[in-house]
Amino acid sequence: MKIEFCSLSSGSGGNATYISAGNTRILIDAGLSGKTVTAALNSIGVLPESLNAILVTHEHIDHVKGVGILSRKYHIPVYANENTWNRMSKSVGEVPLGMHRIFETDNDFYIDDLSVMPIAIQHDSAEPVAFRVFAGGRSVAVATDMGVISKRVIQQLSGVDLLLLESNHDIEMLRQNQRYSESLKRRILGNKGHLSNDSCSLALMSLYETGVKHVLLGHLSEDNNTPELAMHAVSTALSDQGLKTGSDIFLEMTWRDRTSGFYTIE
Amino acid sequence: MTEQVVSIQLSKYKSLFLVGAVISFILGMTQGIWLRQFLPQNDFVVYVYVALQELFVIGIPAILLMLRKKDLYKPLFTKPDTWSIGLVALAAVSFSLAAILISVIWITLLQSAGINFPLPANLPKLSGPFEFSMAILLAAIIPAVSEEMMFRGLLQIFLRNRLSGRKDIFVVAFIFALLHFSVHGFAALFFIGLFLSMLVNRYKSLWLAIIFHILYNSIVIILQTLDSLPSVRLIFLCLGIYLAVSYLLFQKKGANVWI
Repeated sequence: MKIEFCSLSSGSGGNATYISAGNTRILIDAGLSGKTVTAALNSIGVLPESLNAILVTHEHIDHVKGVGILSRKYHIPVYANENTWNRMSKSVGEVPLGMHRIFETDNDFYIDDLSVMPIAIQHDSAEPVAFRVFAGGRSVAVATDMGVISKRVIQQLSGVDLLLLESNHDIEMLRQNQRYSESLKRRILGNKGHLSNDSCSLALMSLYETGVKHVLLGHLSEDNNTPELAMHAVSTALSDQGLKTGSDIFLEMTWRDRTSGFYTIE
Repeated sequence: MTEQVVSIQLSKYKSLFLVGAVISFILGMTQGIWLRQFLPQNDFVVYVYVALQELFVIGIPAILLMLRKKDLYKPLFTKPDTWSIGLVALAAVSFSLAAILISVIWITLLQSAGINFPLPANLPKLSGPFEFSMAILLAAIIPAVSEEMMFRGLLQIFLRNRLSGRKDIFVVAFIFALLHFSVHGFAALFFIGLFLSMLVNRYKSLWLAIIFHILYNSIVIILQTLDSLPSVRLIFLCLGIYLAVSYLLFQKKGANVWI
């Protein structure tokens, strides 16, 4: 069974990732308006009503903005853990009865042809998770919005066939940003903030050992990073360790304002 | 997000729609007034005429448009579960009798507003099982499949990307009722349109709408050829059954599901 993967948008302006295998189609997060998500899905040839689930990583608005409207309009079940449900009820509005699905962060669950593993991560929200999705011996994962990437997370992501990993900011650029308050900088740099280009590179080195070869960089900051900078920083750090991008490990970019490439893992 | 890559590339078929609309209007308007006199009255040809009109104006364009984006529309044809098929079948049978009530109220309203239209001629009598089964094929199955693909499939998806909230359901139902060119049947058709749109929205399967439509049309054919109205008691009984079944179909099941 092949898995299809496409980042509809990635960044603080809104996150949504489309994954499908067999007859099952899911979204991980829907942090854009319902209209924008629908248009993005249309652009890759998917009807929103054919989605089997929307999985929510955490309750921040750039991850849940369109969840309520999509669920109401197209009768799509929404999956989140209990703490996230409690916190996001205000921001997503009413999710129809019978569309609530509650998972436990420590337990895998199934959505038709897919098996989903929630992975506990560190972020300043109720109970943030990353998701690894399995189908037919293959797997993909979305891991963004985390301050640090622990050994446990590396272990849970080991050997994933395609990984969307956060590469949020360049530490220097963030430190010199005049428009950000000191407390905001501390928040982003802290353990419950976001992953920097450098931390991303470090994580990738460990992940490469476990067999991860295809990585998409995601959730780039608009003010404190650029796609070129992130790509350069990560590939330089990797080549310092003797890993050649393009042959040992493949890096690609996801975008704040448009869909990424459409990946098929067979 | 590239806005210009809207999946349903209807722009290429704009002219097709326009031609279809013009033909449909001409055929619809002339069916009773002008063309009927050239057709053999009360004959089986009427059924053939209905089927051809449905097929060429609605069915074939719908199939062509859907084939352009096979993967996109494939999920609309997922198989519904047996329980909902049963409920929809029951709803169709009961509603086809209950619709008489809606039509009677509608016609009374029209007449009290001073609008008087002559009642349309009955469908031709059918003799024997062959003619009957051909009539079901021509006037129930072909129109049902064509109309559902066009209205509940293509048109609803086209409109719901462009209208906020649930306006699309009402617009689709209105166009659906309008294009039947039946003054007397308008209210019932509008109601059927709403019901079918809700059904497709809720169960995400065109098959349920098609099943409802086929059964409804078939019973209308049977009633018309029998040329006798069911008793008032039966009509109200059917209305009750229909409402109860609709409740079951659209009820909001369960609250929180732990997985």
